[in-house]
Amino acid sequence: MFSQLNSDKVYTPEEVAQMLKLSKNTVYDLINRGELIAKKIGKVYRIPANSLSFMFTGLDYDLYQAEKEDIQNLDKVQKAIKNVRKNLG
Amino acid sequence: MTIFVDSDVVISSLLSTTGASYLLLQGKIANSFYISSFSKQELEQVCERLDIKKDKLDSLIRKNLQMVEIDKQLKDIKNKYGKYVYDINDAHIVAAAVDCHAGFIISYNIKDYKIEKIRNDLNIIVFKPSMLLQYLRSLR
Repeated sequence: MFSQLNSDKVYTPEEVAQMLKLSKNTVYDLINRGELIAKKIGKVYRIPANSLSFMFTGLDYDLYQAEKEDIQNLDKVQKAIKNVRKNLG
Repeated sequence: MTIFVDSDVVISSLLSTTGASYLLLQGKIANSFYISSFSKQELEQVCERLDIKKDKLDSLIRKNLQMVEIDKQLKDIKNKYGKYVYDINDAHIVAAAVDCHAGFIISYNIKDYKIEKIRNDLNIIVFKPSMLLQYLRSLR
């Protein structure tokens, strides 16, 4: 689901509550406890998609990106390893 | 913390300096990472196939990886450890992880390991590099 989120986009607490199937109050609690990083603009909060990374992927956003970077090459790497391993020993 | 590193992670770290494999192997827990003599043999061949300079691999092994020597025959390894993998050719990874008393196997090839059985029988957790990095963060 995280890959479907636009990483440039920001969400309202209401939208995040709906996505995570939580109450709006719980989302505000998470923001107040620092578990969900949000930006207060005037009187309202906006939550960047990056802040939601861990909840959807189990990874912080930078680690999610780092994994994606490796995955770009993974197909050719694993093919080469499979071929070599078949003939090992 | 002893960590056995599968060859796909070693090669990935040579291909990208911003990927999770590089971040892991160049991180502060270097010296905890192991490969085996079998892995070294296959890594050299994979580097040749993928046109990766052998110097880069040698340098990574020298600086960041420790080597566990496997003196068993591959046939015996497959007999003993084949039950832990879906692809019998991956059995030497599990064998080497046991030999170096690893707590983790780090691999992108998670689907080919019977991770529940490995954890229950051998007390080794199979993780992707990013998952181990996230776990290490949680310990801070």
